[in-house]
Amino acid sequence: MSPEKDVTGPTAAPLSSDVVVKNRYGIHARPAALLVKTASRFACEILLEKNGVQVNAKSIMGLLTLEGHHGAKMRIYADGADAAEAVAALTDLFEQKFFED
Amino acid sequence: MPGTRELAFKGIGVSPGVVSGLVLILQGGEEPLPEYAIPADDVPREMIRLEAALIETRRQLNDIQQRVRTALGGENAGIFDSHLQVVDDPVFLDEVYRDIREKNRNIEKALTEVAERYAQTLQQMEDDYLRERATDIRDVTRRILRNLMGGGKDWFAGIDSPRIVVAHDIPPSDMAALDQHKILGVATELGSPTSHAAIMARAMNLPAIVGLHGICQQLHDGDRVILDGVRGDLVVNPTSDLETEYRRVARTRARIRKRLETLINEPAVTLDGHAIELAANIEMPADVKAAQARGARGIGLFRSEYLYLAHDGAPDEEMQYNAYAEVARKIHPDPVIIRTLDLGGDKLLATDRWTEEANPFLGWRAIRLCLGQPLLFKVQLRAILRASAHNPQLRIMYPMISSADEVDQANTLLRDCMDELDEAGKAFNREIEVGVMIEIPSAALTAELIAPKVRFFSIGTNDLVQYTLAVDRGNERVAHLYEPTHPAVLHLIQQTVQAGRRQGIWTGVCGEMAANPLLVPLLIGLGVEELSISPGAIPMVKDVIRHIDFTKAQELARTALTLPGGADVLERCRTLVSRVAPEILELAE
Repeated sequence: MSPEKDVTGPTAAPLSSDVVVKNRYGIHARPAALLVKTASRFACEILLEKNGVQVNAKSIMGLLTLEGHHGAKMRIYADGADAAEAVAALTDLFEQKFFED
Repeated sequence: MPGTRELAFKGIGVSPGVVSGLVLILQGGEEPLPEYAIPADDVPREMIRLEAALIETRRQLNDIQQRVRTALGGENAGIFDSHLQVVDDPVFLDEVYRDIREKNRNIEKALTEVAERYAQTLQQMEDDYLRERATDIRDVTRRILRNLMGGGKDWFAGIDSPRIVVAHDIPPSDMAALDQHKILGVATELGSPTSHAAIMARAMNLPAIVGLHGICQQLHDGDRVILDGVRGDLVVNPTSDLETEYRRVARTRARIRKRLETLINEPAVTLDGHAIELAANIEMPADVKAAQARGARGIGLFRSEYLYLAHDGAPDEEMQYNAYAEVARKIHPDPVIIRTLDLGGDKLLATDRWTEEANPFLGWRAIRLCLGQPLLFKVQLRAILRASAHNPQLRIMYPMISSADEVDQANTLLRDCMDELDEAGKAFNREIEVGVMIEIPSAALTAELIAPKVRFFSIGTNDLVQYTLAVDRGNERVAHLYEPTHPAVLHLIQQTVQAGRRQGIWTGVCGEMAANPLLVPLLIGLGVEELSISPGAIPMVKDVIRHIDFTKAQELARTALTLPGGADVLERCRTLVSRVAPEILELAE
């Protein structure tokens, strides 16, 4: 695995948002697929961090290896032109429990 | 030991059909992984090779997904989504590219190592589900490798006739890579009716058996076998008598299927003129065509969940409206019933494990979830209402109703939506028929109280049986207790039908019970007026309807309600069907 280290882009400071995995079964395949699909709609770079480990939110393999269990605290970072929309959309997915429970 | 003695093995039949032929065992035989250094100048060419293989892989996966969707519906096609996402994973591919650049080695080696690193990481995780994803990654990698290396091993080299393929397990990529014209049937040691190989076999119309433990050790290339994908029997070195018998069965079945095809435009009417509405259960708008091709007159259950599962979360009103309107127009002038969101429970649980851990079937799902999230629910209600402008017979149905009160709440929201649409000047059918699913015993027992609030009932027998008998049929220790003909279930159905009839509303059945030709006379005899089933079962069920007398069916139902147990009821049903439609038994048993 080679999680990305640096989230600061050349322009504005990256946006971030703290989220908690609220759905009962955590980020298993379907929520991970949903996250990737949603993240891939945006041009900006989007990272997801848990316990100091960061993965690219557009990478299904990265997301799965993050082991997002129920209750896990994560932080979303986004950097780029549509970062604000991206952070809002992903935060919403966590809030909506990936439309599961 | 290659012998001549007849040996029979029992597995699980997962894809119907009987075939006889020679065995080809697929095992081992992976092509050795090429490994060589590449000069720095050739790195770009290596990357182009990978790009081309990825494009081909995507094309193949989309193709399989499409094939599975057409044959089996959207739910089954979803299994290839994760494969496609691996092929598109930017981080994974970056790592492969970096590996080629930095280590100057060929793409096959770089790809395998990077993928294996991910697979290993996943495999070490505590979560069973994530561990299984390692299999997905390896399977996709193998597919990409095969495209890089020009097709992989040709199992059929030197073999000129079609074979029955036997293997420990066949990953979906391998399965799809096999030339369909060279395979007669499939038998594997691993697998379940819901495993990828089983789903692929059904999509490819190949008879298949899974769960034949140790079979690879017992068989040899060239052994003659008979494979019965209905009963799950694999017979090695069959006697000529048996072979003759199976040939006869296969011929008979083919002849019966052919006859059933001629029924497509015939009405579903009993011998004494009692008409039954025979409709189809579908997952997505594209399924309408297949349903009509099988002779469906209407859609009795349009599951709206795929919209939620296939898109990025809750689809907006326009997206839903477009899907519902498409179905409404395609099926017009026949009716369509759109079931509101039925998520929760099994729909969200991709592995059995979760069903055991939690109690989702008694939880926050379907109408409960919708009433708790009125904003989300109203988006769907508005979309359905707007689609009703395209078909006066478009109906709406609430799932998992447990009391009349819930119907009131849902109807209040529906009226709110009508007001909103009026204000916005959008067209809809104000007289839209509203119905409920009767799948919880409390709803069946209080059908009298619910009936005044709706225009129809549709009995969801899968859940009704499970909730009434407290049996999870996925649990093999209690699966035998799952009895659709249990007297309690029959009484609940009868009570529902009667309560509806007293208040002038009709009752349909949209569970698997309605697709079982043995039970069709019983349901009709109980007064059920509409059957909604998977398109594939329509010809068989129609044939049974056309061969019975309604009065005989009523007689059967009356008797059934007095019998002490489900087995007795089933026996009576079988006796009746074997007398009037024996051919159907040949297909169904």
